[in-house]
Amino acid sequence: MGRYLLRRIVSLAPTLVIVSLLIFTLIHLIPGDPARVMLGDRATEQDVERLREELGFDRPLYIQYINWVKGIFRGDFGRSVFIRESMVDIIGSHMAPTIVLTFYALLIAVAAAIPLGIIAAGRHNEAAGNLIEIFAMAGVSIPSFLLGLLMIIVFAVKLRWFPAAGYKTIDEVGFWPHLRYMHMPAAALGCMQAGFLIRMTRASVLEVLSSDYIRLVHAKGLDDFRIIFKHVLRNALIPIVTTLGQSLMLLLSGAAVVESVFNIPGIGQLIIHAVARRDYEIIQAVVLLATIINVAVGLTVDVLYAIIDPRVRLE
Amino acid sequence: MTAENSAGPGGPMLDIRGLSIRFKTDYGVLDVLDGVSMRVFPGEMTALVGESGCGKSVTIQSVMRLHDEKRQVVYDGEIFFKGRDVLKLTRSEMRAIRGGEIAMIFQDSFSSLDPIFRIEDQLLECVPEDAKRTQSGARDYAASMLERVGINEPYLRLRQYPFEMSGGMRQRVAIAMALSRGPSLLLADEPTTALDVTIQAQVMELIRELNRDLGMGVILVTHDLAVVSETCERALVMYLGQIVEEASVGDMLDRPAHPYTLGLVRSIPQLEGPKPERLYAIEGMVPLPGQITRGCRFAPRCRYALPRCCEETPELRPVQGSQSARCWRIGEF
Ligand SMILES: Nc1ncnc2c1ncn2[C@@H]1O[C@H](COP(=O)(O)OP(=O)(O)OP(=O)(O)O)[C@@H](O)[C@H]1O
Ligand SMILES: [Mg+2]
Repeated sequence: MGRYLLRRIVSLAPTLVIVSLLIFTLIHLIPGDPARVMLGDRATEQDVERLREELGFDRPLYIQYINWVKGIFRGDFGRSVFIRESMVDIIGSHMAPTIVLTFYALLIAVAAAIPLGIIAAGRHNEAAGNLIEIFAMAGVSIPSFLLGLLMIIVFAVKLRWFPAAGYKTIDEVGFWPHLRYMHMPAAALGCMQAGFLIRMTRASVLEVLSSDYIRLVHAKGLDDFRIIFKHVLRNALIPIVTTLGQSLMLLLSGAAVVESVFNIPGIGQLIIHAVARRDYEIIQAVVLLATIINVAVGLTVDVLYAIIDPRVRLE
Repeated sequence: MTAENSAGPGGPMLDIRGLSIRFKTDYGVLDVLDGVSMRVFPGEMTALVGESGCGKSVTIQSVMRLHDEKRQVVYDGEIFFKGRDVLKLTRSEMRAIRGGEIAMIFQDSFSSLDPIFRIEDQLLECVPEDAKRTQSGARDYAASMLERVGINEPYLRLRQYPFEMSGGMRQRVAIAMALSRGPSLLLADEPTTALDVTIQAQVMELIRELNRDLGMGVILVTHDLAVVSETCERALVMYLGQIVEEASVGDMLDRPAHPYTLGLVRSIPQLEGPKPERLYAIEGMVPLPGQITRGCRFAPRCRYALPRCCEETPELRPVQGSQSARCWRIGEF
């Protein structure tokens, strides 16, 4: 297991190089002179030229890339032209709400989907099962921003259960009040994944239910509780666990939209502003981070997979 | 429960009466069993033979009610086990019988172990309660069951997963599971298909022993008439969801009364004597349950069929002694 993890981490290097190169190139292909954008229309040509030199934009692209990589090895993730904070602080403070939002949404999706998926499988072709399936279909089809807006109208404006938008950190208001700002965004974000996971769970449970080994445990006279929770669930969860990583990454990228609906200062907002202002270093740092998160999630899923399925060996 | 149904001493432990089963499928309703009746007495081994698809597995699985009654099957008829109609039992009453009183070895038992649990985990689910009182007692019991079906180093095997074993070994684990609670009725569906001849003989001997010594009733589903002649007392021949002949094994082999049985007996390859020009085979194929026509179900393939056979449906009629057959021309060929 240790050897496997080490190898996976080493194999991360080429991925990072490729992704960072790609992003670096793409960013610099965005039309418009970044120095000009930063200084505005009224700046003189000399001022623009001076800024360009200062930021190193006049040098060839590959030199810029190498310098950036060198910086990372020295623990220097670059520096924003607009925000006078260290890159670690900038990303850290924007990452916190996004991480809370993403994991909360995943929690909601999984907590809703697994029981509903199981019921839908047990009651397929019956009213309850059909109802859950319609619900899942709706969840998959409604865009999160629309759902978010509807929720604001109903639960914030009409019923006044939750704040309409905005965000307070845990430090400012404590854990539970902090979470009050997150209920609606997380539900809006998690709904689509809940829909996917319900259908996935249902299909997986149905397949296991019709398998030979479940017929055998019935013939052994086990009670329904043991059959469902020991044999059916553990087998049915295997494919679901492997898709959880994917769900998490989709939620993370979907968070940007929900953040802007609910006006949460997360990574999504950071990157939207950074792109608008040509704040290259922030974009690069965020992409780097996203790649690392992606690989870490993949790794975690593989380890989980090996834990719940004895046939999988991490070699 | 009437006196007629109760299994007094000497009565049958299993008494299936007029069992018909229909399967609801996506492409319509299939009549899979039609009026199947059979009895099993304590200490008796009954063979159930017939071509692939005739309904042998469906018959014995219905004794344990393993079909999906909510969505898939409709039962008709009665299945008395020790005097109680199992088709009328509640779920929990049924559960109490499964695995304990009635055990089953599935046709494809080598592929029916749960892939993600150790053998130990799965075998311990079938260990009788009194052996379960201590952890080590249960393990020892499980290990002894593995040994009885010819598995060496049972304690090591207990720690393994199904994917770490060969098909024959998994099949023996499944057999050990079925036998571990000392069932009074064993439903064995081609129990030895994945085993080599020596192990096969050992497993059949074990079943025979439990059958003789403890009076375990056995229904043995098999295609191997040689095994039938060695181990069973009585045989039932099925064709397309019906019993077409019922006889002692000796009668069935010596003087089969139904043309279909005759075909089956003739298609046994002979080890001794001159090699025949070609192996005997019954002509044609088993039609699907949806394609059943009027008259005798075997008539389209029967070389002795008369016009009457294609018009009128024969009932199971006595031939001689305990032998009976479903044919219009009993004793004519
Ligand atoms: N779940 C099911 N749904 C629909 N039809 C089924 C189902 N199970 C069995 N059947 C049908 O019932 C008939 C009898 O099947 P069964 O498995 O009892 O045959 P069998 O005599 O055991 O054959 P084999 O020797 O190949 O095991 C077949 O025509 C089969 O297609
Ligand atoms: Mg079968």
